[in-house]
Amino acid sequence: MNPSNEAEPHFQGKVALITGGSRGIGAAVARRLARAGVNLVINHRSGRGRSGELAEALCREAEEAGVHAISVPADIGKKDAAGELFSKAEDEFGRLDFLVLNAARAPFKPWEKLLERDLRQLVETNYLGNVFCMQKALDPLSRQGGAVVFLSSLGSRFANPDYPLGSMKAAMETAVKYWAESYGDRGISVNAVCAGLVKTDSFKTLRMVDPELEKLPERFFLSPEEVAGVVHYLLGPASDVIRGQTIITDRGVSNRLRWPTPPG
Amino acid sequence: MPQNMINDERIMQEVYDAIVHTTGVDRDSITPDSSLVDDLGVLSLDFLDVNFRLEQVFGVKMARKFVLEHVDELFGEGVAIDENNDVTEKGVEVLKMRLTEAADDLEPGTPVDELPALVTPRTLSAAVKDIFGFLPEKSPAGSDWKTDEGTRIVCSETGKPAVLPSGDEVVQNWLTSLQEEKQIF
Repeated sequence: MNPSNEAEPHFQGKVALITGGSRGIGAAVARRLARAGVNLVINHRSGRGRSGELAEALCREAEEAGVHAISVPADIGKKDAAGELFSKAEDEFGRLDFLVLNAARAPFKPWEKLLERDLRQLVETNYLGNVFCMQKALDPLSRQGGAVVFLSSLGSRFANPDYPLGSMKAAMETAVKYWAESYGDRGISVNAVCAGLVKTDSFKTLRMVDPELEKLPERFFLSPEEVAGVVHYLLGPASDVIRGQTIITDRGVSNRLRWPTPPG
Repeated sequence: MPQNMINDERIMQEVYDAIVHTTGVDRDSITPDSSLVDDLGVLSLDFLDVNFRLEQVFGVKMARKFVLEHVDELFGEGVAIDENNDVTEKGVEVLKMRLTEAADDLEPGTPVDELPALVTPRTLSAAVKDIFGFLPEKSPAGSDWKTDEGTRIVCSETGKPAVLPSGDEVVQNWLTSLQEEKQIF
């Protein structure tokens, strides 16, 4: 990212917190918002691995783009950790304008094989974690109004092999509607983006479960940047008039029951 | 497996290629016992790419789940991984048998999140070899096997690929045999 003159009045100087922001769609959203002039809190799950390094590198990119960014490790599925995440954001920036609920973590297994810990992980990160974040974000977002976008997937409405995460995505799409109604009066808009096939880390797992996905034509796929563009739109002035909606962003793949063969 | 269909050196070189191709790691920095996470800086999620590449190259299905996941599924939740997501004594015992040297220093109480650090080119190579170990002497057509492009095993008469168990089935099979022999769970 280079310092650019793309800063937009609606966004400039505001603050966004992105959960699961070190890679994939979350990182693409961070880059898109940084270009618009938004300061960033980039959350990643604590633990072993390079997600911390990726988040730090992303912060440096954002700083080069002229905004301030911090990375905060926290497992949002733990209420205390989620609380600390928002405290650090408050301490650093003193305000919060946008919340992007992107973090997801789930086993890819057939339902009958799910252990209790798999189910708890499924619910803790993908449902409880989002609720904890929304609860913590309410006060700061209420001060001046703000917008929330949840990242969903087509698994919320179509059965995918070994993808129990889809059920949590469906629950969250419903929560989005409830939150939009509950907090609209405080000036908080809440929407979701239901992304189609995006070649992120999650896709790598899906591809192992369903190798046929690899054979789909390229035109069925979206880039993380394209999804980030829709998130940016829903955080922008459009959030005044779009409330509680889930915008399907899949190049129209889900519009048909079947495609002519061979597709492409 | 019928001997020398694909030699160990070739499998190891393909594992190196898969790591280099999918992660951009410098080939000269890889040794058979490099920890992909600790020594090569590979993200555990990138293992999926490495495995996918190995599947394409060898025509096999690598394990989707780590061995301890199978232990808990087969013998009861908590046997190998406790409620804190740490490895139990039984879990350590199994990993030392399965991964040999790669698990030498493993202690009970190690967080499961740290287990990807045990993956090395040698353990990946062993996983591929274990699958090939189930190759029958003859193809369903009663013919010998041959290699296609040096890495895929096909029937010498029909050219049909060998049907092999998945990596998960291989691990389940090993665990079931282990239990029958030693009753450790």
